[in-house]
Amino acid sequence: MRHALFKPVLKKIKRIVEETPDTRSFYFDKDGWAGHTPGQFAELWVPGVGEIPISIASPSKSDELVFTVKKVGTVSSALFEKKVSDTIGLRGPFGHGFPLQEFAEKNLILIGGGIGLPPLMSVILEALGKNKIRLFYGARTPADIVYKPLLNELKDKIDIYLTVDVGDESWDGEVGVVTNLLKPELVHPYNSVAFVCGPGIMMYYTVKRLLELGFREENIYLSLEHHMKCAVGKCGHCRIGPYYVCVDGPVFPYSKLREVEEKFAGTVF
Amino acid sequence: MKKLTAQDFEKLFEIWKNEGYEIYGPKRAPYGGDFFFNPVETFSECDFDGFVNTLKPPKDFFFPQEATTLKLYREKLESEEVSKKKVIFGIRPCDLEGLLILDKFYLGNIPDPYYKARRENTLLVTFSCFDPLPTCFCNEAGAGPVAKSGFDIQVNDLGNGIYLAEHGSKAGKDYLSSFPDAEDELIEKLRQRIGETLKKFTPRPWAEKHLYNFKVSKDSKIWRELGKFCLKCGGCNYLCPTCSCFNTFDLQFEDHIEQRREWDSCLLEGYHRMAGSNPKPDAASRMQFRFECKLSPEINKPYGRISCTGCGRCIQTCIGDAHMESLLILMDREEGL
Ligand SMILES: Cc1cc2nc3c(=O)[nH]c(=O)nc-3n(C[C@H](O)[C@H](O)[C@H](O)COP(=O)(O)OP(=O)(O)OC[C@H]3O[C@@H](n4cnc5c(N)ncnc54)[C@H](O)[C@@H]3O)c2cc1C
Ligand code: SF4
Ligand code: SF4
Ligand code: SF4
Ligand code: FES
Repeated sequence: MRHALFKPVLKKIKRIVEETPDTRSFYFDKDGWAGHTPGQFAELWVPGVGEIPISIASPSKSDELVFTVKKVGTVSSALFEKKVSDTIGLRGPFGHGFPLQEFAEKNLILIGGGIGLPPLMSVILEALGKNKIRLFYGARTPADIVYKPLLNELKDKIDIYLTVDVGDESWDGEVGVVTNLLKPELVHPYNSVAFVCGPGIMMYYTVKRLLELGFREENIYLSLEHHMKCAVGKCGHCRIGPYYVCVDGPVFPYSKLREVEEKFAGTVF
Repeated sequence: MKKLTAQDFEKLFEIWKNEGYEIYGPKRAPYGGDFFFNPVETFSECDFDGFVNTLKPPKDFFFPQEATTLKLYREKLESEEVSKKKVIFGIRPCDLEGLLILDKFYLGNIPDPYYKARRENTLLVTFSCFDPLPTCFCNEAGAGPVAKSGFDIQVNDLGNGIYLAEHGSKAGKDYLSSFPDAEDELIEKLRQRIGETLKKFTPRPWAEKHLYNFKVSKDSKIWRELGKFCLKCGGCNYLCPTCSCFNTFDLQFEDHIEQRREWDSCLLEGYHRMAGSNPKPDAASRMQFRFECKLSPEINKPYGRISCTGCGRCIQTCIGDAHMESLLILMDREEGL
């Protein structure tokens, strides 16, 4: 069991699950792979094409490694060409995940947008039966909701609130942005921490809303997405102010990010 | 401090070659072109006449412009950690300081095996500077014109075929041990030369004031001003002795696949671009990103100094004048407003 920081381990794809028309989960056997904490990520290498950072969607105790990938560009499209038994390279696990062990007694408020659900799913499966969990998840359309069967299974064990930007005839749930779901009677800061992962704009408004609801900055954790190449703090691409998202993150408490957002170059999320 | 002649250096070159070192010294490109560190066999082969510094900084040896990191043959994956014994002869103090910063960056935290392998088994021989260019400001950036430490051997060329050399490491001490100590009057002459050299630097009151006092706000018009003139060539980053950023890419060959690293530049849009968004879509925020990397005390904390060594390469290279000197002057003006 060692961390593959620079040289990937070659692994055969064990199973592929079609989550949505443009999103697939890739399953691998875990042997030879170091343990991870939810929120950590790996670099998936499609040899001959390139590497992409992808969150580990499975919990640490599982003997499978799961990655849920949305097809958006060069490497993700090349990954979608791969079949069961094809070999790809994996490096990791990288970075700092969600500090679950610090929050053994707390309620977990999980807020996800789009392809931001995988790291939160790792949290859910890890914390199930330990923490009280409430999940708020927004997708673009009903067809874009990932992990539908799993969410169905989980709905008796945790509180799940879903919304879509655009509904269809089959959808009788909420329509609108995920922040609409964050009502004071459902999301109160007492004894709670919030874990957030989704597109930048969604995280921006979610943080605003959580602060309005009385959450303290240090109780809001965000998983950031930044351009990445090396995942070991060397290529420079993911730097925000004095932090490297790949090594110091990708999960940060908002209290750390506010100053960076105000003082250093670019937008943080 | 030891006294050496050109013949003594020829002896040292022979010793190094016998020990299996490859020696790289300054060579001028044909037709009076730029200087590069190229393989040399003898001391006399080095071009010290008119040499101030090389076009590419010596980081190229340890963090090459382009290098293979992985090779995949069918199911067999090899990591390309290249280590060769080499002497880099004629490094300037600003670039030595740059290497020491890169060492802290690449060997610190999660050490990089590719840099580490190339960096091992290297002897660094610096030459102090007595004829700075108008673009040099190592004096202000605390890196020159004479290096304080970090070299194996530092050479001071006193002219007339006389060189004073000091060691900065055990290896350097051993190589110099057989040479005679320099007489007191030569050491006094060196002291005078250094004093005269300091007077040769172009005066830069703005450098002293702002290099160590970086606090340009995010919405300052300085970033927009510099951004307007950047033509996005990447040259200032590629040639900076402390720029460490790289891109990775794959190449397919008939019988194998390679993953490579190449120098990257944070002033290019694609450096920051993500699928569907870009946190730094404008040249102004990329300018801030570049210069905060060089001068921000928070970012540079691990090095205990700023990441500009005053080598002046960005000033020489930038066709839009969006370089370190412009930043310092604009900072001075903004303060005066
Ligand atoms: C910590 C982390 C976890 C992530 N987890 C997931 C996940 O679980 N599922 C998922 O579908 N996506 C995830 N992403 C986003 C995913 O990495 C990008 O969608 C992917 O890199 C796009 O690559 P591409 O080659 O297909 O696209 P292109 O647009 O062709 O990108 C080219 C290159 O740019 C870089 N790049 C582009 N977009 C991103 C991006 N958003 N983040 C980082 N680098 C980028 C990559 O190096 C990529 O190879 C995560 C990103 C980060 C930083
Ligand atoms: S050298 Fe000048 S023009 Fe080229 S990237 Fe740097 S600032 Fe821009
Ligand atoms: S971020 Fe920019 S300035 Fe800093 S090392 Fe990388 S390329 Fe150079
Ligand atoms: S910022 Fe310019 S002057 Fe400073 S070290 Fe880099 S290239 Fe040299
Ligand atoms: S991904 Fe290379 S420094 Fe973070």
